[in-house]
Amino acid sequence: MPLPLVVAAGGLAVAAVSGVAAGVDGVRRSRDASGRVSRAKKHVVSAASRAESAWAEADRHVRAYGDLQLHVQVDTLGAWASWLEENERKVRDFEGHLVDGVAIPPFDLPELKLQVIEAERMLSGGVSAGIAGVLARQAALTGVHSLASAGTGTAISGLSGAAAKSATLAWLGGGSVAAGGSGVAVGTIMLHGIAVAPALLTFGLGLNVQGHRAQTRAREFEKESRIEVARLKSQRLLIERLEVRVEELELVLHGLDERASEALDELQQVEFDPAGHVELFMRVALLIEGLREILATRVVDEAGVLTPESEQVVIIHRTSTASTTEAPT
Amino acid sequence: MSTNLPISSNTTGLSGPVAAEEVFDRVVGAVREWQETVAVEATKQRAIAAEEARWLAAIEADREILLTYLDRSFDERAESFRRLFEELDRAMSGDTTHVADVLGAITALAMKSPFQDLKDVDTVTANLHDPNYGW
Repeated sequence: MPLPLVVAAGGLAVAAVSGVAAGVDGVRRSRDASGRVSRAKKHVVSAASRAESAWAEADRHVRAYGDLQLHVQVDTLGAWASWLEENERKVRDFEGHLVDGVAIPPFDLPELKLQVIEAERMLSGGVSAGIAGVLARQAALTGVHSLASAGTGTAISGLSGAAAKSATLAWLGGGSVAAGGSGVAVGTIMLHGIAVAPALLTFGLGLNVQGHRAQTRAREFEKESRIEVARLKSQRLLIERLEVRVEELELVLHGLDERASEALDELQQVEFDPAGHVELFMRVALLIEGLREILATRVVDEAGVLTPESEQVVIIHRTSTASTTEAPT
Repeated sequence: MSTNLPISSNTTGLSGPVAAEEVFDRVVGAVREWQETVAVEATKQRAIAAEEARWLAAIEADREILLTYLDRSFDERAESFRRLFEELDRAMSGDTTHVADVLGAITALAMKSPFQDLKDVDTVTANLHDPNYGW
C-alpha cells in the first residue's frame, strides 16, 4: 500500500475512533444533564413540601391562638361585663377619678358587651360578616391559611418555571442528537460519497457539543433550583419563628387572663363597696385593660394578611425570591 | 487542497479530489467548532457556579443574621416576660401605680413584635452588634 494511503487509512481510523469516543462522551454528558435536572427538581419539590408543612403547622397554631382569644373574650370579658352591668351605678362614681395617681380606665360597657357577643357568635359558628371586629378576629383564625397557599404558591410558581425549563431540557437527553446539526453534516458528507470515518468524527463531535450544551443548561437549572431550595429553607425557618411569636402572645394572654380571672373572682365575692374595694377594683380594671390590648394585637389583619410587623416575613421572602438575573455582588 | 485518497466521482458530479477537500474542510471546521463550543460551555458553567455560590452565600448570610436576631430577641423577651410577671404578682399586693406600670411594660413589650425590626439586614446586623440594644 502506498505510504500516502497508509497515512490516510491511519488518519481515517483515528478520526473514526475519535468520533465514536466523542459521541459516547456526548451521550454520557447528555444523560448526566438529564439526571442533574431530575435530581434538582426532586430537591425543590422536597423543600417546597417542607415549607408547606411549616405553613400548615403555623396555621394550626394561629387557629389555636384565635380560639384562646375567643374563650378569653367570652369567659373573662363576659364575666367582667356582667359584673360591670350589675354594679354600673357604683362604678360610674369612679369615672374620672385617680387611684394612687392612676386614672381609672373608661368603661365602655356597650362596646365590651358587643365584643363578648361577637366572640360568642364566632365560637358558635354564627359569624356576622358586617361586624368589622368579628372579621378581624376571624382573620386571626383563618388568615395564615391563605398565607399558606401564598407561600406554597411561590414555591409552586418556582416549580412551574422549573418544569418549564425541564421541558426545555427534556430534549437534551437524546432528541437533540437525532435532530441536531451533526446529522445534517453526516448526510452532507455521505452525499459526497466520502468514507464513513470523517462522518463518524463529525457526528461524534456534534453529539459531544450537544452534551456540553446540555450540561450547561442543566447546571443553570441546578443553580436556580439550589437557590430556590435555599429560599424555601429561609421561608420555613422564618415561619417557625412566626410560631414563636404566636406562642409568646399566647403566654402573655394566658398570664394576664389567669390573673384577671383570679382578681375578678375575688371582686365578685365581695359586696362591692366603692370606697373599700377601690384598689381591688383597679387591679381588675387594669388587668382587663391589658388583656384587651393583647387581644387587639393580631398576627394577621382583616384581609387575612400578616400584620405589618409579621409581614416582614413575607417581605424578606419576596426580597430573596427576586429575580436572579442580577446576582448579589 | 488536493489529496491522494482514491475517491471516485459520485452522483453530485463532484470530482474525487474536490469532494475530499470539502470533506477535509468540514472535518477541520467541525473540530474547530467543537473546541470553541467546549471552551465556551466550560466558561459558562464556571460563571454559573460562581453566581450560584454568590447567591447561596448571600441567602445563607441573610438567613443566619435574621434568625440569630429573632432567636436572641425571643429568648431575651421570654426572660423579660418571666421577670415582669413575677413583678406583677408582687405588685398585685402593693400599690396601684406599680401594677399599672408593670402591666404597661408587659403590654408594650407584647405589642412590639421582633419582626418589626426586620426592615433590612443592615439594621438587624447593627442591632446584633450593639451591646446596648434593647430587645
